[in-house]
Amino acid sequence: MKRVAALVFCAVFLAALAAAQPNYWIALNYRVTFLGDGSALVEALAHPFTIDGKSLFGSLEVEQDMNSSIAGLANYTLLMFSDNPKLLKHTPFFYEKRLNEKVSCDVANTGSLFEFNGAYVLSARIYLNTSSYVKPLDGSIFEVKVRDSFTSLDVRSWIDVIEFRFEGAKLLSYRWEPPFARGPSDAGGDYLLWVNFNEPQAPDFYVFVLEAPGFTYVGEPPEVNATLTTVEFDGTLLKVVVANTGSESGYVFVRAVYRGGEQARKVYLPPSGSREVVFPEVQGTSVEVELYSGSTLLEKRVAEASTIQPKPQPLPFPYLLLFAALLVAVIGAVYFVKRRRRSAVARAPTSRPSSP
Amino acid sequence: MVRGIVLLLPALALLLATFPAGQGSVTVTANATYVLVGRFLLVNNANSTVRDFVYIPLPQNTTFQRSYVISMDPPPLRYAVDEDGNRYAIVLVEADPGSKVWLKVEYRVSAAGYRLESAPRAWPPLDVARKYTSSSGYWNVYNETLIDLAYRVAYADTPYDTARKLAEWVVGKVRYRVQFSRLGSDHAVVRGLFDYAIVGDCVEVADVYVTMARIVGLPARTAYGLLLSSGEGKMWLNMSTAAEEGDRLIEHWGGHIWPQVYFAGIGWVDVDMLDGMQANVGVFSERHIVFGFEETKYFGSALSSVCVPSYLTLQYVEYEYKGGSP
Repeated sequence: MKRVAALVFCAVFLAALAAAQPNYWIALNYRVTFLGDGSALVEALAHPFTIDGKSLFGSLEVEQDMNSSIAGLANYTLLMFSDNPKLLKHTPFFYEKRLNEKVSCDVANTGSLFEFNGAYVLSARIYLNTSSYVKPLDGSIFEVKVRDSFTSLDVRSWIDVIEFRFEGAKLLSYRWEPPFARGPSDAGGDYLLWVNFNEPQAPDFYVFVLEAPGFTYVGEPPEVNATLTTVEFDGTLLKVVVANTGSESGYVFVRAVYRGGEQARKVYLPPSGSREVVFPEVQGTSVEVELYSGSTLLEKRVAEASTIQPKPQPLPFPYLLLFAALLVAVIGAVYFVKRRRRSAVARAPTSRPSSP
Repeated sequence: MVRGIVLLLPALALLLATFPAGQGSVTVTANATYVLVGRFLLVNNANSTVRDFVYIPLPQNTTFQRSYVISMDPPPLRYAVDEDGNRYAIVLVEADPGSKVWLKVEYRVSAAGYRLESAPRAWPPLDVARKYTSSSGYWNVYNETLIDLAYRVAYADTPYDTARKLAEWVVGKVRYRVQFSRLGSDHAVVRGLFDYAIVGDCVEVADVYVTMARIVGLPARTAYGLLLSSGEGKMWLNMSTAAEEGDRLIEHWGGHIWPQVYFAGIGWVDVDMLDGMQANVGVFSERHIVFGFEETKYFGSALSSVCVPSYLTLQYVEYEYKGGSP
């Protein structure tokens, strides 16, 4: 369930001051069907209503408001499967109004489910092999996390009902997070159904281990084609130049792995552009330099460190240096004072005026 | 006497040499313990009785802060942790139509101010770089204008130099204005006749800093909470008059958000540029009370509000605090 307007945001402990927008609630149901090729068909079903439980389905004002926020709902849907929706592969979203659908929720937190007739439905097919929430396990077996992105954004929001179907993909095991949330209210061989009456009961994550014969893990696709043009040492500095060889702009990660540590830096490359990346304090005699874009390792180079100097032990600067200076000054002063005394004693008989 | 000084010097040297002065050293500059009492007024504007879950962010435990819940009325149903590791309480409130309900919380918080004594040079490992430089709704690292600006003003060979150059640039561009909705870095940087400006309040400043830091590969996030003006006082916020008050609101309200950057070997370091309008990389006062962090959530955190009801409406908030440095 998601509250629209009048909430949203109290960034920095400031009030959300509602604009002249309709203030209503949305019952949210999801249907997720995992397929044998490793993709998932996702349908988001939404039904608006007032705080008193009166349906607003068909209300012109609310319908316009909902239509204008389709992109937001699509983004929430992608965020169920990835931290980085920009890199998640999916078909275009399809939005429609369906009169024959039913959408359920606990309208006023009374512990009973109410069924609304009609739904605004947003659907798309998502390719899980590009999801940052997928962990390949063994061949066609993988773990996929589905996040309640509504809760993630706003602790007050949650998915009221979510149904998972497995068609072509075989469910091997499942769990949910946090463990104190409720488990599925209904489970069959090829489906699981969660009915969440309130946010504390609703899982933040639904986690499945699936076997899908057509699944091939890809990971996040590369943003750019790039290459390492220079890898050189300057004392303990490792200097790497990375160049974009394509016409797209985007980010790469340069990683230096050496004995006892690693360093990495993300840099942006404009089309055909290049960037120098410096890694200070690189230790050891051999360094492996890796270049990534998305999840893809674009290039790997091993640089033998004939020119790497052993890392100088850092001086406990400034205190030790200060102490050394003080010590020299004091010893010098002591030596000077003693020498003067000795010389004064030696000269005394001659320098003293003779008595009459 | 001279001999005495000579004898004292090695002891002094030993003391200073063992004092952390190399990479990763931080000096605690002040300690303070506060008792913080919060009161939140909720109103039921609906025509029916409402049973509402209310979410209450809590002061967090960090390297420089220890927090305790002394009391909460009504008592919490449960303590929970969000995706970014922030602990909060869930309270159940029942309210009749038109009725008003007060929530009261009392915390004890020990906070330390600190100063970073060295300039960290090494970049973080790949998993940290990946996690804390990604793009999000308010931190769009693909914004071409911000990319161009970030590489012009802040690209440097070491993380510390990057953080400092960026802070110096940001602090010089702030055009402070209390903002009632979060603009995100895309809309917070505006081009004037001659130069760019960051228009907004602490949220916009933090969002711009975090976005630009992430653009140049420096892991960054935000911390949110309160910035106390002294060791003892009261701050309040009336939701029905806040918009009219505009910038005068900060005269009696200390809700705050600021950036943090990650230095390998040290961890998260605060960069609160609005505390004294300086490039405070690793210069942090004990007047900050941290209620949470925004790291990975795509649209930030709703927990950055003091009190988050669902069906009810938050009408008034106040915090009273006593304590300070011992």
